[in-house]
Amino acid sequence: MTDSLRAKLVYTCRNICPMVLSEDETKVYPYAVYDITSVAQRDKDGVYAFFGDTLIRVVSNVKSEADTTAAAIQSAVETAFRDGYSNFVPGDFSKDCQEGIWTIEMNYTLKQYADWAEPIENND
Amino acid sequence: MPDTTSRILGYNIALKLNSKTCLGRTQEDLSVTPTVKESITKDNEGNKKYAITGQEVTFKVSGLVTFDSATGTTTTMDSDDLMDQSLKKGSAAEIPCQYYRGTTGKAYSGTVIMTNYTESSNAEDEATYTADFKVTGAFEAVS
Repeated sequence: MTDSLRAKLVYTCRNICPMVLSEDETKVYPYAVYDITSVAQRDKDGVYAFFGDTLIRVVSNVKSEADTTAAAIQSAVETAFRDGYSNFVPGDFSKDCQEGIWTIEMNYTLKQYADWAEPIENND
Repeated sequence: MPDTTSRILGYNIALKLNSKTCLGRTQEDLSVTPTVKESITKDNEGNKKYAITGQEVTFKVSGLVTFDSATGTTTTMDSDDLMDQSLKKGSAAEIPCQYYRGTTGKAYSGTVIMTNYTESSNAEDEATYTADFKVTGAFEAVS
């Protein structure tokens, strides 16, 4: 089994806002920064899961936009990661505003129990 | 000097019950405890004597509660199989066991009974089980 937590998270949120690593932060709002620290879980027969401590930080200069984007990401993540092959445990959520920039932080432990590949979308 | 020792990684060691490993196992512990008989006579001049009359051999298997989709799986005992085994009585509760230590170590075999089976589940983590076994009768190296 290979770790696909990052790929699935980015794919899940692809139509909501840009999901970037902290190195790719821009001034084009809204966007979301993500960071996953994943650890392989093993039993004696091999890797059976990946658990990822996940931080998603939504950034916007408009409060309502930050709220809407964060709610959409939360809904998408919690739907995508409860599909029988993956799971999640929600952690702390927090909201902050500094110099007119709103940030909403959402922490999850995302869990992957089976291989995942990005679906091939049919655009016909 | 040639290296004549060979370490072994834990996943190469397996307790098999009816030639099946326990599904989802994360830890297997073997314990061999001698049965010691104590004696003293006046001729011992106050120094006790001890003799080993046998051994008590126990196993503990810990793992994740896991179910295999196939019925009659020949290589693994899933959590349904372990639960079923824990409810058996009399001679049906006795299971042949084999203890393998990789391909270089000796293998041992005997018959075990399950003395305890525990499943633990909470709201966030994977459900886990612990199964304790005790060898009944001889536990001998497989030649």
